[in-house]
Amino acid sequence: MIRNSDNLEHDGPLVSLIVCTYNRPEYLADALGSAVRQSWPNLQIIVLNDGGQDVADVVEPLKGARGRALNARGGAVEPLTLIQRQENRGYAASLNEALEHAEGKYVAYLGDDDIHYGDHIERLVTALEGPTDCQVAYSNLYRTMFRTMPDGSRLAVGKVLEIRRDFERFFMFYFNQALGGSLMHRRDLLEKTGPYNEKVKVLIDWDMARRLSFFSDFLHVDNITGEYCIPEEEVSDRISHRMRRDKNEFKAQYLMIRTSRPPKPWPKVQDLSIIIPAGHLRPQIVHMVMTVIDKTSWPFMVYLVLPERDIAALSIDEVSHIVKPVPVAPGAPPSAMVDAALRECEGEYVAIAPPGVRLNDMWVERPLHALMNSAGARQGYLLSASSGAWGALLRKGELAEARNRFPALEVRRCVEAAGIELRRITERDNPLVMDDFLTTVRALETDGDWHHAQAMYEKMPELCRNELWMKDRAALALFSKGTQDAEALELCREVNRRQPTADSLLLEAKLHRRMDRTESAVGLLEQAREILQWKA
Amino acid sequence: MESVKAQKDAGADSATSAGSAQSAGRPEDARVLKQHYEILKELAECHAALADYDRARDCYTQAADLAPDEAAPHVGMGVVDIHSGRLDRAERSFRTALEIQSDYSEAYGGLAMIRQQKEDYPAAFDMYLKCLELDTDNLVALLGLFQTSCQMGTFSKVIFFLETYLDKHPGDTAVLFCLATLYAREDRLEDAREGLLNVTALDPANAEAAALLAEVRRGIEARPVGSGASKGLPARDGEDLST
Repeated sequence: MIRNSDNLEHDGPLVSLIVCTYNRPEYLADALGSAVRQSWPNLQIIVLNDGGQDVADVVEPLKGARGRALNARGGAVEPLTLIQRQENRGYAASLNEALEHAEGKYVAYLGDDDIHYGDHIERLVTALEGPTDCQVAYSNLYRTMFRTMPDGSRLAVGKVLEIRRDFERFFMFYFNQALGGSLMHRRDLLEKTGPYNEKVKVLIDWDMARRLSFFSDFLHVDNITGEYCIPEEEVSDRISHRMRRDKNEFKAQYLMIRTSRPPKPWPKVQDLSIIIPAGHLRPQIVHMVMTVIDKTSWPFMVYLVLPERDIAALSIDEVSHIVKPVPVAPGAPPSAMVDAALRECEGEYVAIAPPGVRLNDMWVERPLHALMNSAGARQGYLLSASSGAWGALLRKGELAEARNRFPALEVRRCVEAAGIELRRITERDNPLVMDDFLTTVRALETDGDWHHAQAMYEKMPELCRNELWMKDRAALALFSKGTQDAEALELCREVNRRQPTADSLLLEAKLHRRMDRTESAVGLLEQAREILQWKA
Repeated sequence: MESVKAQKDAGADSATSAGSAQSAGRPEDARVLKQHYEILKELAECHAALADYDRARDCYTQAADLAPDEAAPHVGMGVVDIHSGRLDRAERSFRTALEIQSDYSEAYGGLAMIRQQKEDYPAAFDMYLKCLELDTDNLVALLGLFQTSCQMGTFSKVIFFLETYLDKHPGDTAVLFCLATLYAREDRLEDAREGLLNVTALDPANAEAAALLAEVRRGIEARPVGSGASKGLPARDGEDLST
């Protein structure tokens, strides 16, 4: 319990909730209304106006809505602070400025047109303060598509539960799975990740979530605690639109995020060193380097082994932070090139990727996932390569030891001589098994093969958790199949007992109707309708 | 505010590579945009099924407001209005539905029902025909056409639609019985017998079919040997063939 000299006290740690806003006062009122209604008592709300129209008339009336908050030293903290900046500097800069005022043990975020349900902060803090090593947590959010009514109010036309996936680090490096609005993290983690990158203009929260994942696992709080809102006219794929507008700019931003490497040590991520024993510089080598960068999502450094004079001619400024040229003598054999790179590289894992290695999506993540999950020592994985080329993923320590023991042998022979077993990856070696599964099962659904779709949904939790989500999908498959309504109803009921959504209630109602239980259907549909009411 | 919007996009769209699970959800957007509408429509249908027409109409009205491009709520309102005896309002609803979607068979079916209730059988017949031309599977329209045919005494078109329907639903005894009845009226006694045999095989407790079958058999037996088709069975006194 924290107590200060004014005899104010709180049972839990202070949470700083950051709300950055720009020219949306009509929505900000709803967002802040949801913020001040949070059940967590010790809350510091920081509103930063990023050079937009004055929002004092929105913020000031709410200032008395919450009791005082206390920091870790028992010092009183303003429960609601408004920072009015004159200059528009963008979202990342706004977050950084707001964070300078944050005193909480934890930080959470709320979009200026989004809402948190009253238990959002409480659920996340409670989870993080519980028996867990995680320093980051996220909850489920609805994606709410709304229509602005003539009086300015918002009407939800649909709410779909989208952010509901259990944490998986491979996936986080590939795709954001925790929106900023659903995220809470320890504030001191920012000392390790560094601040928000103000050069990043899109995917800003992925950039931070990705960096946070170097230092902590993410705790998935499987409760719906808020909504991120999109006007119905903007529902189409906005990033794709932006990409079409300025594809190169977007790619540059995307690359910047995907290749950022916070300072070490990384307690949760083992580094990957990709050695390209190029021999000499030619256009194909530069192309290969760029393809490696494009196709690799796990954090990595490329060690490009070239003669000194070729290094001088190398032009890779935009990726120089992740490509380290390694000099060798002209005409050096491949084993000498690997040895030279090994002396430089920091990664716990090493991919030897000469020209000829196939650089498909997940080309190195599949073997990396397999090797990380392989308990046995002296194991590695062959990389897929065209005939005549040989590449492998190995533990750096084991490869270095093999090179020390058999320096005269070419790398492949040396690995064999050291007793390192090289395996080929199988279909099961797939860090994104769930994504491949979803792609497959959605194709089955499109083809109307509900029988196999349902069977896959039942099997999936064994492979990739997300049990409730899969039950929800299996119920839909059974409903669509049309011959197992009783089983579908049982699944639906379980889902709706644990986490009812508008979709799952609608499905159960349809099942009841099909079974001539119209009155039961009415009750469920009224619940679904209630969910669709605007919650702010 | 581009950057704030971008923050949202991150969750939904950040994987630009193929095969992402969450981006695979994007095609569902069209469905989600109609979610509230669908719930209201479903609720309206439930209330209508429970004969709570005021609530049904209220839900249909809200559904129509949410999705002005959808004709279904207007048809729903029309049906509810027919049940409430408000035929003029029902007609307006069906016509609104047809303005939104000119090939909406059920709207024609609704207009036909109104015409039929107003005893304007030729207009009802035409509307039922339009409805069935757009959807040969519409049982309500089929039975409406059958009733109207009986009321008008013309059967050839309705036989065609009943046969078409039975090609898809060979086990529908109600339609089989209607068709057999018409065959009998048209003096196609062998066809009638076959149809009624099917009805009684599928529904042995169907006394009406059994009675008509006995009558058809007597008609066949009464034909002079070697004669062609006889006049067929007359409608029994007070018999409503539209049952």
